[in-house]
Amino acid sequence: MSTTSLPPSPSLFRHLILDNPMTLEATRVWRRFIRSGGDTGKGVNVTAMVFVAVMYTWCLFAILRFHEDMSTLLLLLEAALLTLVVPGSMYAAVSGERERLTWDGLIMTSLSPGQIVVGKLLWRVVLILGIAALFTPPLLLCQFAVGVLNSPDGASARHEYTLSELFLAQGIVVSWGLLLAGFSLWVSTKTRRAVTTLAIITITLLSFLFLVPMLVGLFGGRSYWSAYDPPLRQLGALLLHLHPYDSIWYLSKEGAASVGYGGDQWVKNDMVRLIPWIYLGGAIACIVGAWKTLRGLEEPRVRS
Amino acid sequence: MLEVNNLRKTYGALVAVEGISLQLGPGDIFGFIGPNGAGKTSTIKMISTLLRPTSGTATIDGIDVVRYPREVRSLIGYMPDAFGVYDDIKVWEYLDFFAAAYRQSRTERTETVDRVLELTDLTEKRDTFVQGLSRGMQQRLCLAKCLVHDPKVLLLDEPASGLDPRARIAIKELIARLGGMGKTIIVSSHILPELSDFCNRIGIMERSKLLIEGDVETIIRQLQPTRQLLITPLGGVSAAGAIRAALELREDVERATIENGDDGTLRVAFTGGNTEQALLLRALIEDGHQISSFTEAAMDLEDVFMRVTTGRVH
Repeated sequence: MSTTSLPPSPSLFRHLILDNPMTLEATRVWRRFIRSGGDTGKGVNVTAMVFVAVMYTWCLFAILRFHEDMSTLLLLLEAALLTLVVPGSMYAAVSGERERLTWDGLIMTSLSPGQIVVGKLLWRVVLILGIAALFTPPLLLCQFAVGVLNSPDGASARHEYTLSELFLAQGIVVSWGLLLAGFSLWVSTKTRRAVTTLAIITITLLSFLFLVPMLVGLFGGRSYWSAYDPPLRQLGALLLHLHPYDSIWYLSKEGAASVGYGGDQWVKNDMVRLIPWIYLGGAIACIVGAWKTLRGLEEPRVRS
Repeated sequence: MLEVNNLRKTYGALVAVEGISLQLGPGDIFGFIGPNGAGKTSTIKMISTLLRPTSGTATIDGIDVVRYPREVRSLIGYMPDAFGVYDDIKVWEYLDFFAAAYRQSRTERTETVDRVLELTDLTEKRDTFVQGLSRGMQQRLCLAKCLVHDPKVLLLDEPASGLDPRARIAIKELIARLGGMGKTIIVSSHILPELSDFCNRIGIMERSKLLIEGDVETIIRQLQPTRQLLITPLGGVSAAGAIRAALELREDVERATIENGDDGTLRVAFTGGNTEQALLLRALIEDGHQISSFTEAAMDLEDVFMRVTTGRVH
């Protein structure tokens, strides 16, 4: 058999990042964002941007004018923004290609599944880091400039987070964004239609962020995690501990003071420090899953 | 260059492709003809490594399409019947992207983009956004994309479907030019005149089977061993009767029938070649018959298709 060998593979970094033509996607998405892809897209973009700008400005104003420590609200706002923006930008990454009939053209090339995955992820990671960078200055402002509670008793004035807690909370938010990116990409590789991907991601997020906490709360669960509890209640407590907003809230002084049963166990036991790593682990698992799925999709299909 | 042996594809009980065999060399343009649902697209997808055959083999340049799909993909350009293009990028960026995806360097890519733009007559649209192109131009852009890595084999599934006549002609000319460049091309269509101009070989497929395959001339000769001559005399049916009587005495005429009662046109089944045909005309004139028209009724792809197929579908 005569085989035609492909050109030699460059180094992994060059292969995945520098020489990866998939990075063109960032240009396309940026242009589409500017063009806004029609009136509906434009309306959503403008509304979201105005909302974030108003909240951001209001936080800055509260910090500078009233010496209010707005760290918790800023972190929750940042996490909410990532929760909306990351899946929204990622859900059609692969399923959209299949739906728009561009997928076959893509896999006919010499692009490797790794290049496709990295190309799809890269600009979203930049987006996540960009949002984190946008929120870091006011967070630091709370910490170093004026960030004390607007307490009538000056003696009890304190920061919502210590500096290390602030970095931890920011780490939770960024790793949450990465987990969302990885998960959205993985679901996108598994589905044939973008709308299905979006539905799965939305249902999963709604379940994880709202439904499970509501059910756990309904059946008397809280963040007290006892080995003597029945397994289902333990699972509920674990899911609550992994909730990003829960973690950010209970990490704050105000949040910690509000917890019953003698404080949040994960925060007290420093288990909360594991959360970014758990999110990152989840993100990596999803990315590897997406890569494996793409390898399968590159093979000749059994069905047309 | 391209060899297909007993290729078969089934979906449960449904047989989509039934034991197709084919051999094509460099420069061959193979017209894949058949009604919708005949199995053309499945066959092309199997050859282009996108669909796994149930049984049988296909090799391109000696490389098995199932065992070495990545290697095969670097040798082929595949244009699907339904395709999408990336929007929000310019024509040159689109081609540059695909050239980069075939691991070409920046310098190579510049040359490649210029080359394929010129070949597909899209140079003027270089800086146009892809979504701003007409359907015909998008078809040409898709073909240009298939050419960026200079493939040896092109698999074009209904490349001219949905195009206006002018765009259709442009695509046909382009395919003929690519064949002239030594590329092996499989082009499928259910519109026969589309293929007749530039295909040197055809295969007719119906109900998952390749009914007939070969070069156009041979197939026509197979289906129609005698030439069909149409002779129109001056003088209508009575003159035609006299000519028919003269023709029936000749050994190289199998039969002569009056086809058109109005002008007396005769259809003659003639076994001779070009020389004998010329001699026949001279003999008729020398015998004093007045001939207003003397032509060979050439069998075209449409006739071949109608003769070979049954019109039944799955």
